[in-house]
Amino acid sequence: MVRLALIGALDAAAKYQRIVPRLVGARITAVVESDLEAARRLAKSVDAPAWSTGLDDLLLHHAGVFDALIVHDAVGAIEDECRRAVDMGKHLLVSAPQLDSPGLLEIGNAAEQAKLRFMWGPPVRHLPAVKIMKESLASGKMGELGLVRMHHWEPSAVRCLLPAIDLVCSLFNQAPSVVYATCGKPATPTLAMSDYVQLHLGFPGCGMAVLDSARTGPHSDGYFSLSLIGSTGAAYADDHHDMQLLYNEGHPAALKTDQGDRPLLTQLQEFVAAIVDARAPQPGAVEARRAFEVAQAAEKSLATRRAIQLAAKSQ
Amino acid sequence: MTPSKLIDRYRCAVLSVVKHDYVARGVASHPRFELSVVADDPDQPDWVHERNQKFAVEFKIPYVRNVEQALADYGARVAVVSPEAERHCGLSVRAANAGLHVVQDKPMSNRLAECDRLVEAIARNRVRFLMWNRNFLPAVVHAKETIDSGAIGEPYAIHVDFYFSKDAGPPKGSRRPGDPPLDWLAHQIAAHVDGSDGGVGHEPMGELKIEGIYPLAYIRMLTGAEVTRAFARTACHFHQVNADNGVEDLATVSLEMDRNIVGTLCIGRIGAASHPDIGEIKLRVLGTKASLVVSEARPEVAVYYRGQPAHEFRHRRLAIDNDYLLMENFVRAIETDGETIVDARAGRAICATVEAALESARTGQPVEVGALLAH
Repeated sequence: MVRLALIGALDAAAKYQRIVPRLVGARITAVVESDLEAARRLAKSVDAPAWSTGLDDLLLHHAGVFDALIVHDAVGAIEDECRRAVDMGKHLLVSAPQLDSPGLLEIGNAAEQAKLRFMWGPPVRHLPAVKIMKESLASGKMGELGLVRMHHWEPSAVRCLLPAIDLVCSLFNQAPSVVYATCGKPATPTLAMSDYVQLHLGFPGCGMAVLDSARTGPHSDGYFSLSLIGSTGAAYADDHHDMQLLYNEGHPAALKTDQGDRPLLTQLQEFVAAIVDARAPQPGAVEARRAFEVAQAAEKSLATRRAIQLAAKSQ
Repeated sequence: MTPSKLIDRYRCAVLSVVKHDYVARGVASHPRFELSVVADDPDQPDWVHERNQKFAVEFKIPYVRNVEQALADYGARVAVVSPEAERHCGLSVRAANAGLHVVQDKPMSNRLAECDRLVEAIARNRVRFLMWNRNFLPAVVHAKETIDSGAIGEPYAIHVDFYFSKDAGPPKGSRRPGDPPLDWLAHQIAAHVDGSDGGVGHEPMGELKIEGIYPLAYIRMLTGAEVTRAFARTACHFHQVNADNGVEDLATVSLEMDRNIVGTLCIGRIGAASHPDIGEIKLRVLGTKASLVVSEARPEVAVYYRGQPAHEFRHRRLAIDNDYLLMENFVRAIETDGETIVDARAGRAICATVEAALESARTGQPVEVGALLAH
């Protein structure tokens, strides 16, 4: 049984309550929340025997009660603590988008060197539609993948570009060879400053991908759309298709049908399975490096307004 | 030419109608226009004359194998131009020089210099020009009204998916060793039977040239911005005829426009198996206050029944007045001395964007459209 410490999951407490009993081969044994009472309540709800108000405190006083950390949402700046957790032999799943930074890559590298399991990103890869699309692609029904088109509009100021890049690369099963980036108004020279960015990727052979990432926009539920165009078939997943209508005064509102617990459950199960099977989870450190490399090329492309060539390497 | 406010019905000369004949039919759908003659040059090959003749017979109008004579003899005020792509601008220029307003099929031309010649002729003769387009489809009109209402604030990014789920002959990789490559024109002529001969012409054209006018006209209308820079990737991914002739059937384009607006276009002839209807065609517009996701196919109705042919669309578009509204726009431009929804300069700018995209695909780097616009 893999023992998990859960950090920053208060907003998703109900979801974890539902998911924990469905996890195979794992249980939550510790919880971290900045508020002690909240931590205690969450721990009780997922049947965890230990709780704490900070990762530092958890590592100091309860290091023996867990094998792996799940950083659902960062409680403050916890990169140093995550690094220390890895130093103490803890596996790490960082789904907190706040850790979408070079520090994440260093932590992943350290975990990999220590032969620990490192997994990252919000569960974009584990969306049910993505799973079905990947299965169709892998079955050969859609032929050779020619184009991936993706829109990823976030409901907050959080930038989730790396998971989007990772998803595209995973579909082509390789890194792109060409990266071209542009950003919207106001034009800014860096990814970190841009509220909006669109990436245009070319893959070895004739594959191509176009994705855009928006944040701070008025997308209260976010918007996700993914199209795969293969040589003999295509697949389309689009929040547009999954809207229900709410009639009230004025124009009806479109309400997105929730995808339930499946994405998070699948992500956690993949992490647990990777620990049990002593294999790299997907996405892991290798995929993090790949996504960072593309993001760095995008940064360079934004600064130079040129397409950037990357050395092609199969993954 | 001065505004022609006293004309009840505009007599139209159909100058070659060798492609799918939707343009001439679209013109005829408006009560202010009547087709009066079909004309073409006498030295055209038999298949051209046959198609012209067939169309003339259907509409019970004469077919004249002499363009200038037809223009002189039949009192036409409007030319409807739909020959092979290479002859588009040539016939349109001749019509403009004869004082006729022009409605022309896409692409404007496969040569920018030809576009320039046409822009000059239209301006010099003070006639109106309409590039055939889809800007008056209900969903596109709705998107335009929504943006104009200020509901999304200032648009800062726009994306169009324009996938036609049509086949184009045998799939890529189907040519057997020793077989000759597929001839472009012969293939297009043969494809006329199912209406998939949008690239009819001697020079092979990829999807950007054949269909690019439609999504780029959407982008132009919805943003009101000129494209200044393009980066593109292209591929021959689906069809043997495209592979044999080195023209793309799949393309992606990043666009940079005036006012720091950015955008993308994904376009392809992705094969009939890849969508249950005509194809996934969508517009997404991000604005400073809100964003729009629009399905170009709406409104539509679903019809299913036992024994339904595989190629019959299950979802059929509704309330399409594009032909009528285009011609209404055209007649208004004629009678108010105004501009059409896609005039000659707009058509030329769209061709320049396509050229920049193709150049970018060749060089692997973004290309300034302005450099092409200045030619």
